[in-house]
Amino acid sequence: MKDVRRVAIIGAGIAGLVTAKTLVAQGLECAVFERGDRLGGVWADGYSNFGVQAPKELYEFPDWPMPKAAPHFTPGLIFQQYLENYVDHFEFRSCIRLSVCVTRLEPRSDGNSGWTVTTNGNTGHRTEDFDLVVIATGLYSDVPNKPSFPGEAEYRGVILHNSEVKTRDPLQGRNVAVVGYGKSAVDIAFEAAEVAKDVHMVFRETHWPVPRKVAGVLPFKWGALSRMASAFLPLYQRSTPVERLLHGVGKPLVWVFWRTFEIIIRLQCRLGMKIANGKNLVPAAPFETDTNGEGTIVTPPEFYPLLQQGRISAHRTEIARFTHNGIVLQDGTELEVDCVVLATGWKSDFEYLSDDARAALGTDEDGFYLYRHMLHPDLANLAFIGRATAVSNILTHSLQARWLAESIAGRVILPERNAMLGEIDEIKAWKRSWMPYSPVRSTRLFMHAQHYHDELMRDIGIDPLRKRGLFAPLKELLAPYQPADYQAIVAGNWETPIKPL
Amino acid sequence: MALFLWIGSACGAILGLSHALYLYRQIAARCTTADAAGINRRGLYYAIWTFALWTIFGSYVLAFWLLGATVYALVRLILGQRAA
Repeated sequence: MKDVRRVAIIGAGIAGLVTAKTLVAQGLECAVFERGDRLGGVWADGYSNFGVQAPKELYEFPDWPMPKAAPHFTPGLIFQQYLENYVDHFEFRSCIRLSVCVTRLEPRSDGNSGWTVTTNGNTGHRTEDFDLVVIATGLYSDVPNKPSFPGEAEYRGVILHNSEVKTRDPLQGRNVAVVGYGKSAVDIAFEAAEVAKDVHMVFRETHWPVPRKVAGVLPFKWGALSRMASAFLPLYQRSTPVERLLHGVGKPLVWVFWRTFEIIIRLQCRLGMKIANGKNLVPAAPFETDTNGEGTIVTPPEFYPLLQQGRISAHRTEIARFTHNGIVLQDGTELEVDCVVLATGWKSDFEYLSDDARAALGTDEDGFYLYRHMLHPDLANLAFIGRATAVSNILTHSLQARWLAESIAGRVILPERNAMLGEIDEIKAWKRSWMPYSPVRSTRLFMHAQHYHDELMRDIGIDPLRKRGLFAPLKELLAPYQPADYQAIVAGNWETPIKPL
Repeated sequence: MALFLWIGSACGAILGLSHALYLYRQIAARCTTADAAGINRRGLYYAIWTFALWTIFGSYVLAFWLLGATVYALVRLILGQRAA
């Protein structure tokens, strides 16, 4: 990444905004293309009760704290306004081009490195050359993943994707079935419980919930975001000798740690409660692997009581077929419902990428893998920010943006092509060796994000130990890492550098 | 009980010393000439804390290790028998 002057950023969600802010501060000319008419990505286009599932101190830009008056779990509308204020505070609104959709991305034909970006907006088609393109559109596209079922044609009710449930209106007074067990499914079932006649949830598999407070006492960040907790996870791709010892001779400690955690959550959320057909909500996979899969959510405390009271009927099975007035489940249960909401996620879509670029990224079913979750060695001057999912995405994306800025400035030395490909193969093998399958497994880090953040810090030449004060060593072990710990780094103002490893 | 505490603390001290040395070397390895003294002091401070924590909590770690090993073995035994 040499001689980068003009940068195109696709997407004005969290990842796109933090990238633009970081690169503009570096003196680069940026253009942010956003297909929506408001900035914020998913935060500009949510359903009525959506909001951030992590507490606000975990979901804020490290160098732009959430207002003190904001609720502890930030509602979506307030969060979108926070993003607007972020853009104004760092004065890069002029870079953002709303209602402009990128339709084609091809290598420049003028012999310079970089990409030609074709867009379609209010002023029609336009083509521009950029030295660097950053794709910051998240994991999915705007193409809903809507599975089809036998008998749909004869069904007289409505079948909606969760993206079509922006308000409570489609659920009002109806018998509703929500398909799925992720965040959107829980949010919509929760909403339906307020206004619908009957509410059913249909899901194949359950996942371990992460309560906002473990045992009703300990905020989950203490159990999920400390170095000690990350050491107890299945070994990281590049683990330390201490972690290897812990998972070797110390295996009984690791085992008893997670089983105790499971017992606490099982009792707290009453996962053993009987649901339809005598089943329960206890997940099949152990906590430490399941939470790195697709469906981990921080559940609102009011959700499980609704299941217990029967306001929401849970069915641990699949839809077998539709009938004219409802659905038949695999376990034989017939549900009379006049509204089925498919909270079944989205498809990945990088249609605008040239054929060569898509071929380089590959066709792995669990998504494409990148060096440091950002670069592919065969796609020069193309970066992905936001393809690394963590508990605090906003922190991870902020650190990625800083890493990219340092790479552009030549202060991060990138390895050669073969070394990069070797690392990509290693991380692929590591994830596939233990992480549950998901169409975006390539992006999953979750509780391993701490290890990833440390790697980014070392690449840049920053001490990854960020805790300060008399009790810093104790805090390093037990205290959760959160955005505020990286304020100076994201602001580009850190202390004496260390030797990059 | 006193013997168990002594054994646990001794095990903790041995592990703690190894961990402390490892941590000190890691921090010192990152040291640049710009702030060598400061980073060495920091490495030493982290090493002392590490040694102290391991020694103080060594017996608790040993207790949990024994508990985990026992329950893990029992669970494996029961599940193994069921599978058989």
